[in-house]
Amino acid sequence: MASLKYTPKQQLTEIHSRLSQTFREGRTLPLGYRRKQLLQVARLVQENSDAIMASLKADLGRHPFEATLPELGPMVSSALHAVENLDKWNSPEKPQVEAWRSEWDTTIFKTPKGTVLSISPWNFPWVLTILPFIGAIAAGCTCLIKPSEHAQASAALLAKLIPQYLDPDAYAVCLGAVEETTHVLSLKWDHIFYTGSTSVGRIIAEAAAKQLTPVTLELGGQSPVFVDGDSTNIEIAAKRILWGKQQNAGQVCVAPNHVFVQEEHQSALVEAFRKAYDSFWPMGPLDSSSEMARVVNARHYERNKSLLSRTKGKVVIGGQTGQDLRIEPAIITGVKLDDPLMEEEIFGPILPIIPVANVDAAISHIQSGSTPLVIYVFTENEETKNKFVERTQSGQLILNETFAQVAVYEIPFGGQGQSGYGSYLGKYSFDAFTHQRGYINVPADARTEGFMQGRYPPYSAPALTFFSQALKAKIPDA
Amino acid sequence: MSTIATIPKIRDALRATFRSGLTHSIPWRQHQLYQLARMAQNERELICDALQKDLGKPKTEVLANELGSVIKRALKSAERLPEWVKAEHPEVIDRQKPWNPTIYKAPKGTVLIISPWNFPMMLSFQPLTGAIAAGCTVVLKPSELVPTFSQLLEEIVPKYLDPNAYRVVNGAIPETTKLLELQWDHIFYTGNGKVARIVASAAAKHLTPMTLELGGKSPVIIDSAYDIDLAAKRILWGKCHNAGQICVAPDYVLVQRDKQDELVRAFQKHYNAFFPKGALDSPSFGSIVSDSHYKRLTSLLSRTKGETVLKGRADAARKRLELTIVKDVAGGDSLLEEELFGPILPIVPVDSLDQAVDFVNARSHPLVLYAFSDNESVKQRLVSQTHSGGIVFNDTFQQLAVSELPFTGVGESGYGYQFMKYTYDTFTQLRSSIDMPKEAEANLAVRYLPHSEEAVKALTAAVYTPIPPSRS
Repeated sequence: MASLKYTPKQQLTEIHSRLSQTFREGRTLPLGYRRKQLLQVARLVQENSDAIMASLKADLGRHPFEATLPELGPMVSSALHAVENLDKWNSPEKPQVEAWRSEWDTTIFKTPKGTVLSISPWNFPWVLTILPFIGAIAAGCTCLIKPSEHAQASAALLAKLIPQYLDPDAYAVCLGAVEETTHVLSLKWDHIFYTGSTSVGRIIAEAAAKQLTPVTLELGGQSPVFVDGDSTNIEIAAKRILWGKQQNAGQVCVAPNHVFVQEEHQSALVEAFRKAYDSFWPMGPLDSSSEMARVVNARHYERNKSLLSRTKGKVVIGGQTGQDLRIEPAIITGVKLDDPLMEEEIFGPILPIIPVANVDAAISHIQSGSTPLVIYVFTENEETKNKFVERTQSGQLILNETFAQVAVYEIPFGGQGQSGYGSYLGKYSFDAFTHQRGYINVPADARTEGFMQGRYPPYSAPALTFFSQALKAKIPDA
Repeated sequence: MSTIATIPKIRDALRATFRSGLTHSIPWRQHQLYQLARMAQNERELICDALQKDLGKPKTEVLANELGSVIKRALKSAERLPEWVKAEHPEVIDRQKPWNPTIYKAPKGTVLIISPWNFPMMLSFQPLTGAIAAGCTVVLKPSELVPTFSQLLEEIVPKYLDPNAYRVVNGAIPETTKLLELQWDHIFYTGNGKVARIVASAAAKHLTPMTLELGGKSPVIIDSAYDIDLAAKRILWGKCHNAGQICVAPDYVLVQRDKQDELVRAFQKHYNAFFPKGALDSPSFGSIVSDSHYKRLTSLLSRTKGETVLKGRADAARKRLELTIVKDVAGGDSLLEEELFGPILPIVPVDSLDQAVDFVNARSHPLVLYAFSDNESVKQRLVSQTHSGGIVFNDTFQQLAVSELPFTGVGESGYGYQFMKYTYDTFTQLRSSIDMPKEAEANLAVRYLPHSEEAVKALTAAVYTPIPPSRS
């Protein structure tokens, strides 16, 4: 395949100027304009679904089902969701205020931050580009998209289609690698939305710091799973976990990274995984009839292979490597915390099982690591659930499921600590690119002025007394 | 003064406290908030004295602006807390209702608040109120430019607030640098753009989220049709507060050329009313915080090419500087180079509203845009054609009293919101959750491999939802 043609630096600067100019002119302000652009996003996806699926197949070996459920479907529904809610999201708020200020017309306007940059990753190259982009459009920003150079077919197709469907003066796609991204980061943006790795997240935050640019960082981390063998249906748990893990061959920020289970339930869990495994791939994952995504490139393929050979745990299911960068999802038992598999986010089709004494031990292990994007807990026990709610921290806490949470637009998707900050989905995407601008309008009448008279110098004793009232407020005895 | 070596230990101890769950209980947090209010009430004389010593701050200004609002907001936050901490259960589509979608409000953890010298009481305790309410543990680093006040905090805070959860750390650049080397779960910085970049850079290494409450030149646009006398009074009041050393001080004024002299006369009139004997020795007017700021301000004045119409007297020894008003200031003047943050009021004459808007838009986004106008279309124009943290019509400074408005900057004036629930939200992690019932398995069955063609069709229906037509 022909390699991507990167955007020259001079052109990147010109694009930035053009997008800034368009924003300054106010073109993206009318809601009718934004509505039209959002509908065009939906049309872009619908009218090119075959080409988009082909690009995902080329980049990641994705089965059409794995292209539509997590990517195409959500792109269309998010765009339409934004259209439906555009008026509501953009309406100024009129908060309730204390009586003495009730005539000041206190308002919170929703205003676009300005010209924004969105950098997206290779693993879900379409949905992770388009969903933040929808927020930027809905908010009235102009936007430059920088998709990952590691998903070449997707990036090339995005670069071709966006200018065909959307206003090229307001929205643009640029192509490039480290050099081009570094150049883009040196320009002034009003918000930077980054989805990707923790280490690059630091570079983005550092560049943004120089210009005091606000940032959203959607990073990853090692999202742990706890299976409460004492109080859950192990078969259902294994099936839901494996389903989540095998998506995109484990190359997802919300992939269940590793599984904690009580020691005495480890074998039962393995058997349950085996059963689910066989039902997903009756002919084995590497068979030509099987649906199984591949690892993105040779470097990551070798990395995963190396992990499989270096682990001190036991590979009990799968792990065979095939052609075309495919690796059978591998279940590994008896893994300890200092195993090579636990050094960093696996981001591949390998699932370590770490036996523990009890839930408290699992929580203690989780607390000692960096804050994950998601914690998955399979349990029916209220007390266990509350332990995770109260004693752990994570972007999200998901019970008895993997992944389905990203379909719920009304709950924010975002990390904490090393897994990032800020959030998106639904209205949260809109909020990420919106500045809430406070407004008051103080009347000029004599009554208001009379009321405020005491505030002017020279400060008098009666004024002092008047303003000291709050100081005498009654404090509850608690 | 904390030595540098103890700083990591302090942070670790606060983290351990957070992990222990001490700050979890709502009544516990409410108690801390009441204690904060008690501290402001009981120690008000000491606080006023310290601010008088460090800043020459008039007692009325401290009581009205700083202590009053700290007490009120601490009490109000305690009152609202049970409502704020409630997990949200957003309305979702029918299919997802059985999943119990929830948004928990979780404290971010152990946080750092760096406060400035100019409104040190309010700008330390307002963020702290939100952090306490959110259940975080906190290091508060007040400014070394107000040493009496900062030292006082180190003494009184542990008497009222639980020192296992809240600590005051004093120091200058070395101590602040040490603090910034450590990992925090949020950093709340109020100050200037230059230091903000240093803070943001340090935060980037740890991927720490931040709130930056900065400043900038907050312009005032006066519509000729507005009551110039009233505008002058309200602008002057805002400018004179704390001798102009406020992030939301009206920095410079844009007025129609043919109204400039009328405005100047109105300023002079109200100035004489505020300070019948002048401001130099008036207890109603503050001092400049330090020698270096004093020199900075006098240097800016010496270089202006505008015409001085009210010349403020100066006393370097006492760091007293009366208000100076300069008219006919043009773009490029020394008084337009940086945020004044002092008792200097430049007037920039313009020939039209267009020119005023262009002037403002050619510069960094201000923290607040002030405008005096009764004309609805002028107001609408200013709202839609300018960018600023906030926009205030027909007064100055008062927006800070409105605790229901998010106080924030944009662009060079910063990001992140505060006041009341906005502060609480700043220190809170929205932790999303669902709980998938076992019974859902029947509905979920179609998602599992291997996928039949029917399954693919059913699940991909979402892609082909009819798209509404674009209206022309």
